[in-house]
Formats: sequence, structure tokens, C-alpha cells
Amino acid sequence: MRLRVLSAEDTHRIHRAALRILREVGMHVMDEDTRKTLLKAGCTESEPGNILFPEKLVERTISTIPYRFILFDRNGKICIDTADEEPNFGPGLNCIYVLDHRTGEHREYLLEDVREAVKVCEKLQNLDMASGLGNPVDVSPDRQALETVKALVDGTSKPFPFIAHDEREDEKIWEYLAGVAGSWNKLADKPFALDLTGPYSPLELGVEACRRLKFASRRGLPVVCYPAFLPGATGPVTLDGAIAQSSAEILAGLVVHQLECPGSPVITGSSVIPMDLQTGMIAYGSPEYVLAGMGAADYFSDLGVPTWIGAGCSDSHIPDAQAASEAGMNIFAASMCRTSFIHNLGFLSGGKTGSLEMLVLCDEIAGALKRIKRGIAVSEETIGVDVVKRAVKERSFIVDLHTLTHMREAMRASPLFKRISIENWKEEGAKSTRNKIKEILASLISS
Amino acid sequence: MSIEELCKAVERGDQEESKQIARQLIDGGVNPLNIISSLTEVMESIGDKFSRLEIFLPEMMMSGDAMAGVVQMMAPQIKAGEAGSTKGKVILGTVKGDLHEIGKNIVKLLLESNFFEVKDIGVDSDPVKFVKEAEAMGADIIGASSLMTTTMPHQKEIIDILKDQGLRDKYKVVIGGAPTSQEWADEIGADLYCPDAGSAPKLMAELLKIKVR
Repeated sequence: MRLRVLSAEDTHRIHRAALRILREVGMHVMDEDTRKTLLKAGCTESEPGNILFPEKLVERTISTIPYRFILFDRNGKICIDTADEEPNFGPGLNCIYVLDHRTGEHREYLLEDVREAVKVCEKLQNLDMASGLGNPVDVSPDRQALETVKALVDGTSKPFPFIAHDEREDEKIWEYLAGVAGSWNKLADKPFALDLTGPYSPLELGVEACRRLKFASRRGLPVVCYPAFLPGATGPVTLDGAIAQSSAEILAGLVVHQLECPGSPVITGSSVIPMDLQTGMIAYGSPEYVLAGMGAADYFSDLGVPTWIGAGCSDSHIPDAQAASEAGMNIFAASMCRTSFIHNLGFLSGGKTGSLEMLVLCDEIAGALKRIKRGIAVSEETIGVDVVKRAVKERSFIVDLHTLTHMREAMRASPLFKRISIENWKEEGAKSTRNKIKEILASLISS
Repeated sequence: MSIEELCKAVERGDQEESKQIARQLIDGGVNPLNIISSLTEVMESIGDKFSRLEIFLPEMMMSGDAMAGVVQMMAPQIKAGEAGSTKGKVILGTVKGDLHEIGKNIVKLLLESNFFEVKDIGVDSDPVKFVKEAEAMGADIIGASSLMTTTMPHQKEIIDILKDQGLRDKYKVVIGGAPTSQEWADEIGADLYCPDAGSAPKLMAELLKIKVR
């Protein structure tokens, strides 16, 4: 069950455009060592620092990227697999506000909020990945990511993404994780963490991004390579143009990564983040955000490069009807696209606010989508013509052995969206969905 | 050519035509202050239209650009202290480690179209550079933008350096950028937090009035 939004012909045209951008406009590569490597590999320098990429080099280097991308939990079990038919879900990270589910206020993100988010991620059954959701400001800046990673290691066995303050902290985090795994090789064999880095839009590869990509590549550690691309602000406002330019930026990063150590694991994805040009605000809840992600998934799937896609996010500031509609819409669309790896669950305020209430809601939607993606298994036994024969006369379907055998898996039980009568609902206090979410959260946190 | 036509050209965001009309008006003896006052009204109405979501950000920016072009051209004719003279001098940049510049560029444009003199020191700017450039310009305000949680701490470093050098009271430090907040501004002791580009000119003008008092 996979939905294409771009035909093979469309992705081919986008690829030609991305290659043209790299060949004719090029990338500003700020790291001198990386420039030297690129020039040696066949690139040319159009003006100081600006590197033009020949098509052959791009095509050759991306052909070495492994198509299957796997993250494990700390017990060595596969948790995220881009080859999966069922979608794999994970929360977003690095929000600056938390929507406090106890007081309802938007406030600064603290380390205690990170720990609570980790605990909730560990317990939410449809999340295959964890995160601290926000960036703790009560920790010194050079240790915020490291302390978050430590909280993740302490509180969950699920894999997680991280964004370090700088390359020094980045190396410290990888070193710490190698220690947790037992050795660098063990960490590379069964990686349970994912570094986020990449180019700057428009068309720049910073020193730090180059160094982080190369470090991860040398050690065989998984990394996400993509920019934050704002259509109309850092490139074309049109989605095809946005995907083409952001993909050119990504391809340059992938070339740097693969030149260092061909075959090292790397993933990319939906880097197009629409900006509402009427307000200047980031629009994570917009249909265009998930559509661009789906388009990028088509494009990179056709190239044989694994991707992830953002969903489960909203531009509303509280988990209200807008948030639920946007998350329902984008999780559904993302689940149908050509990657099984979905991230950014739990975002409100266009990614500024992290909300555990939103995360619980998204977990519920994710569960429903996992069910939909499992599809309808067809077999003689489940079609059950025999049941029809024997039960139709007595109208005894409801107590037939076939019903009793299959009823538990025939319909997914929803912990949040209960189907109860209006009388029972009133008797239980006529609770709104948000109140039920708060109760679920309280029990997850206290247990 | 009339002031009305100039206003329409600015509204359309046509910088070349705006400058041309303004030049003709001045050569024809129109008082620059009358031009400035009409254009200020136009920019206010454009700002209102933007807040009512009637026009898009790029349209407001192009009008701002046209306005800034006219103001720059007329600067020699306007005496200090008159309407349309510089409201304040601003050093504006994106902090170290951060290469994002769209927000900063929008702020620059809006400040310039609102009679601020702006020196843009670009992206990935060392905290020391902010201070040195402010000293060289004789700036009133240091504006530091950051788009990443990982680079926000460099906004604080600017304030730390000002304190170390005994210059803290000489400049107003203004911060902005997606991950920043009023709480962050309070924590690092910045003088002003601008939640978006649109509010920057007004908030910064108010900040400087406080300084004058």
C-alpha cells in the first residue's frame, strides 16, 4: 500500500533539475579539507569556495548508499526499518517551549521535561523511536544535547535522534554512545541513535556539517543529511522547484558523506518546510508540508536513497481540533508514502512547542495507521464461506467459533477513542478527548 | 508626477520608479518632508494590510524596499532631528555558527524603510565582531538573530563581551529568531525580544525613546 505523488517521469525531471543546479550553480562549501576532497574527485571551483559538481560524481556516489536503513533498540532488536510495510513512528525534537500538561501554560523546556517525555515515549506502544521532544535550557548550551541523550539512554531502550550543539559535543555524544554499546564497532553494527545534520539552504555546506557527515561516515554511524528549506525564502516557492533545489543541497551532502566512506548508512527526507508568506510563520501543519515530504520520498526512493518524512505536527498552539485534524491528515498521508519512517510527532506551534498531550494523540493516530497499513489479509480461512453456510440459518454469526477465533484481531482496540454509549459517557463524567489524554498521560507518568 | 503617484509606486513595490518619481518631485521643489510624511502613511497602511492578511510578506518587503530606496536617496536633503531623519543606528547580524539570514534580511529591510540606519554584518558573525562594528558605527542598537537552539548561546556572549568591556550601557541589545523567546531575552539580559520582523521597527523605536528619557 504505497501512494506516489510524483510519477517516475516527474522524479526524473526533478533529478535533472537538481543535477543542473549542482553543475551550473554549485554549492558554497566552507570546509577547506572537504573542498580539496571534492576537487580531487572531479568537482571544479567556479569562484573561491563555490564548488560545481559533475553529474557523474553525483550519480556514482549516490549509487553506493545502502537503500535499507535500520535502527535497533538497545537489546539489538530491529525497531525502524525503511523496508517495512508498516510505518515506524517517532517524535520530533528540539522544541523550545513545552505545553505543560499539568498547568496548560507554554513555558521553557527543562531537563525534567526531557525525562518525562522519554518516559512517555518508552511507554507509548506505537512509537518505535523516542526523543526528549525539547531542548533543555536549564543545562549549559554545550551539554544540552549530551544530557538529553543521557536521559534517553537512562529512560528508554528505543532508538532516538539527536542534534548536537557543535561538532565537539557531537563527538562527545558518539563517544558516550559507543561506551554504552560496548565499542565503536558494536554501535555501528546495531546503531540505536541517529545524528541530524546537513547543508544550509540556499546552497551552502558549512564547516560543521561537512565534518559531522564525514565523522559519521568514517565510523559507519547513521546520520540524517538534509537542510531546512523554506519555499519562497531560500529557494523557489513552488513545490517541484523546492524539492529540486533542496535535493541538490542534499545530494551535495550525500556526496561528501559517501566520498569519505562509500556504503556508510545515511538517510535524508522531507526538508521542505513551507512558510506562510502571509504571516512569515513556519507551516508544519500545512498540506504542502506533508505533500513535499511525499514528493521527496518518491524522488529519493527512485534514486535508491532511504528517507524519513515528517508528520504528527500542527501549527496550532494547543492540542485542539486544528491540531487533531492536521495530525490526522499528515500522519495518514505520510503513512501512505514511499518510506516507512515517520518523525516529528508531538509538534505544536509549527515545531516550537513540544506537547506530550499531542504525542499521546499522535500515538493513537499512528496505531490506527499501522492497522490500516497492515491491510486486509485474504485467505480461505478468513474469507470464511463455511461460516456463512453454517451460521446464516440460525443467524448465529455472533457466537460462531470463527467469530470467537478472529474477533480480537478483527478490530483494533483504541485506548483513547472508546466506543461507549452516550449514557455511559455521561456517567463517566462526559470527558472530552483532551481530558482523557490528560488521564492517560498521568497514568503513564506515575506508573 | 505627484506624491500620490509616488505612493502608488511604493505600494506596488517598484523601487526604480519610486526613486525616479521622488527625484522629479524634489527637483520640482516639493519639500522632502512632505514626501516622507506621505510615504510613512503608505507604509503604515501596508503594515496594516499585512497584519490583516490582505497582502503577502514578499509584497510588504518589496514596498519596504522601494521606500528604503527613496529614503536613502533623500537622506542628504533631510536635517538631523527632522521627520524622516535617522531614528537610530543598528548593527544587525546572524550569530556565530548560524548561516540563516532570511529573517535578518527582512528585519533589515523593514528597519530601513522605517528610517533606521542599518549596518548588516552578515551571517556566522563572531560576538566580538558585533561589538567592534557597533563601536565603529557608533550604533544605538545591536541586533542579533539566531535560527537554531544550538547557536542561541552566542546571543548571550555578545552581552557578556559588552559587560566585560564596560560597554553594556552604551548599546541596546535586541534579539530575535525562531527559537528565541521573551524568557530567553530575560535570562540573558537582552533589552528587547522581537517576536517577528513586522514588530521590530516599532519595538526598537520605543526602546530608543526609553533611552532618550
